[in-house]
Amino acid sequence: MKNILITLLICIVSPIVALAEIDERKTDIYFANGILTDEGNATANTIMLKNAVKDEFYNGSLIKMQKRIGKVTEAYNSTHGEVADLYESMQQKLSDPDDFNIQEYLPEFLQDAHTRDLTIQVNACSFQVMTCTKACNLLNSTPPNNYLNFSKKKMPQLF
Amino acid sequence: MKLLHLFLALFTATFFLACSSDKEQLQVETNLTTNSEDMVALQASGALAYSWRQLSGTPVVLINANSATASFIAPSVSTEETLVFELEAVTVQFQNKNITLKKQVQVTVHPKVVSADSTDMNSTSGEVELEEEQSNETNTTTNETNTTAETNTTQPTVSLKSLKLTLEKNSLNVDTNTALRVVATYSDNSTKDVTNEVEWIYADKLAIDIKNNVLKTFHKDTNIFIQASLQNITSNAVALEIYKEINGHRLPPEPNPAINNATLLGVDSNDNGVRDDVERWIYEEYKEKHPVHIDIAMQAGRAYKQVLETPERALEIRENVNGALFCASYYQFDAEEFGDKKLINERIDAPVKSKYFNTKERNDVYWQYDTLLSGGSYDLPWDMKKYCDFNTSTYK
Repeated sequence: MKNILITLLICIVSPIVALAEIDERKTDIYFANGILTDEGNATANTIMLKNAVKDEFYNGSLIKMQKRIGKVTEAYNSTHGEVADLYESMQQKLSDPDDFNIQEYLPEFLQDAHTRDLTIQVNACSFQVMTCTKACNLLNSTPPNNYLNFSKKKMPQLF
Repeated sequence: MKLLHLFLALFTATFFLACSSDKEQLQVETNLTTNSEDMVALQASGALAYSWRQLSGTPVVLINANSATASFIAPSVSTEETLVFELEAVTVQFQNKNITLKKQVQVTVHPKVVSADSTDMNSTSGEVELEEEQSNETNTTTNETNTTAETNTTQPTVSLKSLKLTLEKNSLNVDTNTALRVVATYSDNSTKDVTNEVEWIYADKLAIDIKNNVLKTFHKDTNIFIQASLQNITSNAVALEIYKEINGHRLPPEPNPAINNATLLGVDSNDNGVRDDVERWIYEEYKEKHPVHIDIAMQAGRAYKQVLETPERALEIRENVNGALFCASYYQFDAEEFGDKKLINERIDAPVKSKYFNTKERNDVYWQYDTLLSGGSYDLPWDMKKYCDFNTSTYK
């Protein structure tokens, strides 16, 4: 009986705690790194994204940005090395031979290499998306080196 | 089954024999005795690489610290003193893997016994023997010491007895000067400054130059012996330590690469948490830039040491490991908004990282750390300045 009561209490309290941590007026930014990126570089690229948003939308003011952005989060997926990343990507494509066209695939393989890891993170992120009123922006980078490519025009409504 | 046991026993015996025989390869005399101001040789053999350092006792200048034989001049002591040195050596181990061994060597220094006839001009090297009065060298000495000796054949001839070399400073920064002096003592106990007449003996011509009684150090930090020679008499050896100082910070000596790369953590002789080769690189690389570059690079170095020590604690140490990046980010992107100056315009942690994880073994440890972080989500801190682990008030 005592256990049931504790379980019920947790179920009731958890959403309250979760709601308390979420500021509905703010947007959270998530950054997922591309292939062949270590954690240090992934963090550096997240910082670059944060600064790009700060400069683009908040006139370079971190204070202004903090009023609208809840958090900037790095969703890190480790590289498995060049060959392994490529192999993983090829495996994913080859699993659907009807749809596989090497000429179409080659320009895209780098971007897709981490789809599997990314899926895990998207799922992890989706919990927070559900609790956000705006969006959980999962910005995948463009390899190599996580070159960031986004603009005010592409997502003006988010920030 | 018996055969299997026999095989296992043989394998184990072979393994231990291989390991023990490797350890036995390193030979070093661990207890030495010497007298004040004598030259001492620390000798080892049987290894691939050597590195000597002093652990305790009056500090001495170690010459050739990265070789099988390191030398120093014993300090002048009034009571018996023990100096302790540590030898780190790399030997070949079982299955071609290198192993690092450490051994301590104790050197007991006795006070110098001063006899009635001896003078303090004696060579400290132990290699230079004092010349007795040499009647057959009359011609070479008379012009220097006693002009009357040339004409008075009944008087005993005066010959050069010993040379005493002294340096104004025994420890010098690179690209600096110091005065040196050589005093000759003759058989009649007269003395004379012969600095301008001697020939100089030193091994490393790229380290120093001596002209007009002045010793100039070049841009190379190393330790060397200097001696002077005149009329087949060689002076005492003087140890000169040439160090490199950048922004008031004295760099550790260049480590022996074989020793430095034989272990994950490498050599950190000044125990400041940053491997010596990386510390030297940092100061050289950023010496022309704002000092905050060096502070941040050193912070990164200290953090990467944590990765090498405990990669399995990746989640706990990640924030600290990225601290240098956060700190640099503040001085690159946020500083001006908060009343500080923008001091940085480049990544600092990344080049330090490539220097720190410079071997396959170190790189493997980094990826062990990195892989443990995969799949995680990490919030960027808003206040990045608080991650600077040095005194930021100096950069206001």
